[in-house]
Amino acid sequence: MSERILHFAGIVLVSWAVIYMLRALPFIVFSRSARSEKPWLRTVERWLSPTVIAFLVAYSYSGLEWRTLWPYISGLIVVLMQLRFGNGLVSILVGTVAYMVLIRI
Amino acid sequence: MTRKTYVFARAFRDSLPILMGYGTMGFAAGVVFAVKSGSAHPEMWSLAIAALGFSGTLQFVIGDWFGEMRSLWFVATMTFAISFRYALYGFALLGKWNGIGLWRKLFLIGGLADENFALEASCKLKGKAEYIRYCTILTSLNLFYWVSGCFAGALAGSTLPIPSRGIEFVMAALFIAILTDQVKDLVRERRRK
Repeated sequence: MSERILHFAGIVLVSWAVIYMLRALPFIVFSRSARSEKPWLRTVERWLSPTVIAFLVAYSYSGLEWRTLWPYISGLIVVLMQLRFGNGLVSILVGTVAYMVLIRI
Repeated sequence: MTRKTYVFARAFRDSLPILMGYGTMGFAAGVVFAVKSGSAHPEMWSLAIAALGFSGTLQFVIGDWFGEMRSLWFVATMTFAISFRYALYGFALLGKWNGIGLWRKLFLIGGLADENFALEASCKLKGKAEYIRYCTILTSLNLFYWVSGCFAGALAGSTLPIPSRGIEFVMAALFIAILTDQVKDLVRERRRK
């Protein structure tokens, strides 16, 4: 067991611990309080999830060819498909295939 | 079809886009890790990191930390910075996850990756037991996809992944589809008032 391997294990354990603590934080902070007595929390719940997902959309676009028009056209296709048919899997497949075709033009 | 089969089928169906996304992303992250980490068995480390961390951003950067032998303080602060968004997810799930058994909750908390959160927060299964079942199956499937991708990618090592340029849009598409549904619901709720 070399020192190097121990250090590697340390990196893995520390990063895991930090991530787990962050994920568990809300459940620790609000473990005992009666949630129903906090109307503001219900409002936060309702709005937080779409807000975070909007950020995730932006975040996932940073990994795409976002300086071109293609990801936005493909994104619009997903929105329209979803509004029209409401089938997530179909919208995602059509949008992704559209993107893969468009960036090859 | 029994209700149990139905819940499984639904979780499986919802996990399919993530199979594509995690398969390719995990593979890519595994390759990057194998190239940068300079460890003798990158596939084993990649597997351990994937199983414990369950985080794409971490998986992509941690190879650098291995290669540079970064201090544990550096690792802790950087992980905190790139993972802070995870602390927001639990708040949106407090109500839906209220009263789940301790061990299952610990597992589900560990599984709060972006995609799992997005699907679990938007899932509309009515019964509590069914919803919890859905979350457990979904988290298990996605964790399996992720770990497999990261393991295979690191094993392939310096070999370049098969060109499937553009497949990464699947993640953006998943988030957009979910956001569309949620905004639609919010608008409908507003109109009712």
